[in-house]
Amino acid sequence: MNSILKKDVNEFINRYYKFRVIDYNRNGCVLIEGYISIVDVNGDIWSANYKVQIAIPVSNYPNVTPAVKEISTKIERNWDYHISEEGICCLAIPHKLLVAERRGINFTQFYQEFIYPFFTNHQHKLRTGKYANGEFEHHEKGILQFYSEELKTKDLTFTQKIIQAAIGKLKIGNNDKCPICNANKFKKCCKPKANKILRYGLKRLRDDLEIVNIELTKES
Amino acid sequence: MNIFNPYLEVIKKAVDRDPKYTNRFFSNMPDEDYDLSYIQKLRSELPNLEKLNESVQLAKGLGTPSITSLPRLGNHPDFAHLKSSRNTEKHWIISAFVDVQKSTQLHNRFTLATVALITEGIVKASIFAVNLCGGYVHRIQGDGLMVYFGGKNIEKGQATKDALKAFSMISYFVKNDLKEYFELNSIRDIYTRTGIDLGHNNQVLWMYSGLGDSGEVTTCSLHTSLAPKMQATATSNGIVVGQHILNQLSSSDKYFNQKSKPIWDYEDGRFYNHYDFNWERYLVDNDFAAQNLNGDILLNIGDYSISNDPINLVPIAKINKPYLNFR
Ligand SMILES: [Zn+2]
Repeated sequence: MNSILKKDVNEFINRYYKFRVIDYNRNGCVLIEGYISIVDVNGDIWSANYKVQIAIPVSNYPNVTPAVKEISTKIERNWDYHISEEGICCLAIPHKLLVAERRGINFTQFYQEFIYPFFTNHQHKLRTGKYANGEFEHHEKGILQFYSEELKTKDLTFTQKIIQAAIGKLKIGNNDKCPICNANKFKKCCKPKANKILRYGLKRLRDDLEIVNIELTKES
Repeated sequence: MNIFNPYLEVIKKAVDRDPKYTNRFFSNMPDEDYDLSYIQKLRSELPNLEKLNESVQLAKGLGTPSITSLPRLGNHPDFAHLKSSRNTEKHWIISAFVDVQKSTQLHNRFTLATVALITEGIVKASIFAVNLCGGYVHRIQGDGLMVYFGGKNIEKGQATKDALKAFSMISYFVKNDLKEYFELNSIRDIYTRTGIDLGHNNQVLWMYSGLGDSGEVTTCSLHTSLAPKMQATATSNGIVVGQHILNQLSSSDKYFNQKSKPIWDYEDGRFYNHYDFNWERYLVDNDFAAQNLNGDILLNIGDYSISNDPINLVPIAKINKPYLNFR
């Protein structure tokens, strides 16, 4: 196990007392098991106590995405709760996870940014019937919704061009008048947007472009 | 609700009203010149027996037998028959000492009456925790307690767990609830230190010591004597326990760290060790406390989530926006 992973795992289990390492190498992952209790910002404790297993891939750490399995079945096995039959939790839209993975994670921070909020949000849904910040639609529709929110546009053709520019399919010089929005020099308008989504990585962008293209064909 | 709130509230009021503190940049007035009559009223606001019962019921659930009278100090009920007699009895006991350490800063900032009230508040909160967990307060010093856990109707292992729980709660109260409030007022350094040890049947002699009626039923034991020595080695809000305590727990390694030097040399080649007790891990591990997003500890005794407001989940929950990609 590499020393950064070892340090991060130790830091985590010395901070969150309900977690322990149950296997240092299970299918190439460090396997951590423990309980998550939900405490809100007022310091009130919610009754749920989720038992989870977290698998952190060893090779490539910190450029990895840990996987979380809820094993106490406190979350109903229903797609509306973003969980698989086996309890694998869909922590976030893949793009957010990819950005974290490509940047390199610190496991404690990953727990605080993705894992703990996921379970807190489940409590919120149980009590109020909805998620605190809405949710993405399932599958491809969710991806389209994500781009629409990230690029602040309802225009799918615009999204398509930004993705094309990001992956280099559409070559535009920095000082060229922008062919996407026709408004400005490329570097001043759409280039920052293309750069922003480039953080998801080329593979993801190619898949997303495919989804956008299919949707556009459907529309026309 | 936090079971220590009634104590915290009184301490807060005392701090807020302290004339020396509110006047601290301007005055060198001696304490005598301030009107401190409000202190007596505040003292009476510290929970009495009735409140103690209320809190015990809250923490343990309804139907809990109430404490009808706090047992008198100095006479552990199981050994009270030794009072005024010359008889002795051998019986195991857990002895514990806790005291409140105050910085000179605290004395410089506040009138003595306020410092005394803060101390009294912590001591009374400690008495509450000890009673809640089934311990017996043997003696009250101005800024500390001597406590026994155990007796004739309880198992050693259970008494050990009760003692660890009680002192963990006390350390929690001072380290968290109280400290949080004091830090808001830039007051540093008020903390407790605790020493706990267990003596077995052949190691503890119970006897009456004193003249006539003015004495107490007390223990003569190496392990009663070692507990305050351990207390002296404790860090801020630390709890130090003897080897016998740790031997009572089935899974102990994760809670205890052996101190480098033994606390006792039997002078026959054997040594008696003492250990720093990770009470925060103990509280969480045994579900007496929960941890929030950042790992901070919150006491989980007498808490009801039915009345929780989901609005307080939102700042954490909204970090998550769910998506589903399973097929
Ligand atoms: Zn543009």
